[in-house]
Amino acid sequence: MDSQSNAAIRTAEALVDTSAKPSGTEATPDACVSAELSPPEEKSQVQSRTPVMIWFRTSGPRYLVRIMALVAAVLLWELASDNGFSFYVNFENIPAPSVVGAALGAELAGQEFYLHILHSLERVAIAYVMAVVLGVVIGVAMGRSRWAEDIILPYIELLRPIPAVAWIPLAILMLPTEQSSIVFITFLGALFPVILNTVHGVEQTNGLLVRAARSLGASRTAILWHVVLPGAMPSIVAGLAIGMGVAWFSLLAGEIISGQYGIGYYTWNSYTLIQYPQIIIGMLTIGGLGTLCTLLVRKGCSPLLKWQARGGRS
Amino acid sequence: MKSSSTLATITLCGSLALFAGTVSAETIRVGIGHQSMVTNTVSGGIVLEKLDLLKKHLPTTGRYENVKYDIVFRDYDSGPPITNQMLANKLEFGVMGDYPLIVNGAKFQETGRQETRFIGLTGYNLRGTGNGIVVPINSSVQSLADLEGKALSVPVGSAAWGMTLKALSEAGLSGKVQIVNQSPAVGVANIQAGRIDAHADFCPWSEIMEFRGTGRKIYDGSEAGIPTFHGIVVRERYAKQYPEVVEGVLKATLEAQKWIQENPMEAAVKVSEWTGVEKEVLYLYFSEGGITTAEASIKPEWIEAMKYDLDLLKREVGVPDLDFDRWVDDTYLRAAYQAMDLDYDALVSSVVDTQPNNPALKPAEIWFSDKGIVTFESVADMLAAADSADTPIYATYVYDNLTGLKLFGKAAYLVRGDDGEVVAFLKKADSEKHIANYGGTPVKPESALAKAY
Repeated sequence: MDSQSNAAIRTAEALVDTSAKPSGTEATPDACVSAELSPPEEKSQVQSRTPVMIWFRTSGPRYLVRIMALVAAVLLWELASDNGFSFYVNFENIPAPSVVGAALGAELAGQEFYLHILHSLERVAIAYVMAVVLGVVIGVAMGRSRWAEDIILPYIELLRPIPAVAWIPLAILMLPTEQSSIVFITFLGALFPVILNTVHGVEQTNGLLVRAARSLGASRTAILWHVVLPGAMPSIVAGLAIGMGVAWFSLLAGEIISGQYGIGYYTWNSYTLIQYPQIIIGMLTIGGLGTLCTLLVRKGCSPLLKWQARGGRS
Repeated sequence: MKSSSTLATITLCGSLALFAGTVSAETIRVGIGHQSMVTNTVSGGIVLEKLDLLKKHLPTTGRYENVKYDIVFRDYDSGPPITNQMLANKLEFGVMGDYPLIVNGAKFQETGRQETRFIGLTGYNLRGTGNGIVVPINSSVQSLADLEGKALSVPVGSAAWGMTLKALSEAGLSGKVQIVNQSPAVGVANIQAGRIDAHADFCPWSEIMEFRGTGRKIYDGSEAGIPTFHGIVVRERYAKQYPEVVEGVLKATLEAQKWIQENPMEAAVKVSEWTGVEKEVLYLYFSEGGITTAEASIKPEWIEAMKYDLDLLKREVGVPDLDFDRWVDDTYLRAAYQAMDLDYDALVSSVVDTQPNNPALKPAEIWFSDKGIVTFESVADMLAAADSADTPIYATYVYDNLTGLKLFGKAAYLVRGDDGEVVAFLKKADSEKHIANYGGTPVKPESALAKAY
């Protein structure tokens, strides 16, 4: 399990790094991974003048390529739907982007759609904050104490693979309101990646640094605060980003029972009325909001990772 | 080297022969999407599957002589996934309730590429019983009016939803009751946990909640007066290509319906084994005087009801239009009736309806664990028998004094008149009115009946 999750976490870190530091620093161990992923030309252009110019020179064309890739996909989809493309994959009954776009226009003109989004944002926010606080605390405890790890790990390993949908019946019975059931299901989704990445980060703490701090007279709290946590931060941040993504897809499962509002409910309800354009709108909205929130988490956490750049150069 | 090439030749010939074999015998898929939990649909789905009725009725002569049938049954918990599968050409037949049927027809017509045909019924209730509004068993709510300012959940787009909207608007409560969309499973769990004020659902959920003692019915679908029924749709292109297959499926359905009508107790036990719905609930539906009439003919009443339903669907949730003249097609059903020597037109004009104090029905029944169903000449006799019974009782059944609806004895409000006779009511308010007008005392839940059944 460890090597696998390590690899996953590494990749996630690399992603965090590239987005947090578009200019591409190379000295920290994590940046080595990111350098592997990013094309070589980034390195040579580090010395250019203003950051904005650098961005345009380096990332600008890449973003252009990304946008073009999306546009191409939409064009292909339009063609496939309009011509009833059917060769193993069948597009005959898939509404074309133009149809979906028209439906989206209608939704954006009304109020309902924003209510759905607001309700979902609220649920994700509550669930995510709870998952982050609890997840980091549990994760640090597990990383620092063998006892805590031995007691908690079996639960996590057992509960983690259970898909969010499976929790619905129990969530209804256990929790007092619909809202709390949905938040609970979303919370569970976000919790596990946060815990596991925190544990991983804490366990990776460089023993040399801990001994050095101790020999300088640092207390246990001081070591935790100034050595362990900063050291674990890249891994924790990766966990936070993954957790946000998982929170969004758990939300859809939870909102099946929402009954009234939420973008997951919107999507599910469209299915019960066989409204395919609305289903696609719901899917893309969840995807978009998930991406946006993950991006915000990464940006928000980048100050926590500043030590890496400074420390790495020494 | 030589042997390996011989081997290759043999393998090649073998696979070619296999391939040729499959080409000469045409395989026709008969894919049926059904909802085994929904009592009104069983004669088009689970009964066909478990009694293997299709094999008996699918054509095997003429052009079907060498045909192989690939029979597929798929069980879903609601209609829309079935429509989804049919749109994707993965199922040929769909068995679902009136509202999902309309959505199915309308959605197909909207594509402009292919359509479905509505070819027959699996079960109906003329007045709309089967749909009902239930409150948690300990709730103080006794009538629709008590729901004002409260929340009610219902599967939006189902017959129960249509009933709820009509009931609320007739009671002047439109907009005064918060309506929440919830699937049956979630709604039932919410009622059990007391997390929602009321839940409206289609068959057999209200009765399941009554039987399990978690909910109490405060509004019966019959009060809204719109028929409720379930039926079969088929993809039109498929039906054109294999009309005899469609006819075969309908013949099998007719046999399944006959089996249910003639052996309601056996059917209840069997279907309960297959679906997990309590047999006592199923008997309430299948038995004579019960909620479901398992009969397939397409009557003008159904078309009228569907036109009402379509208007509602169009207005409330933007379902596209549906051309009923194209969509409803009873030719296959007529052929099936003819093949079974039954008079279709006579059936069309006969509608089974509930009536109070129906002389054709005994007023009370007990289902004993050993003796099976025993009928009684009066509710009072039944109560006495239930009291003195020395074998376990599965359930007792009575009829509502005002509407003739079949009820669980334990869920009914019973009034013992001064002459000792007992009458049953669905609603508490009706029983109190009866006492005010004619005297008598309520049969206390602590006594006789309410023991366990």
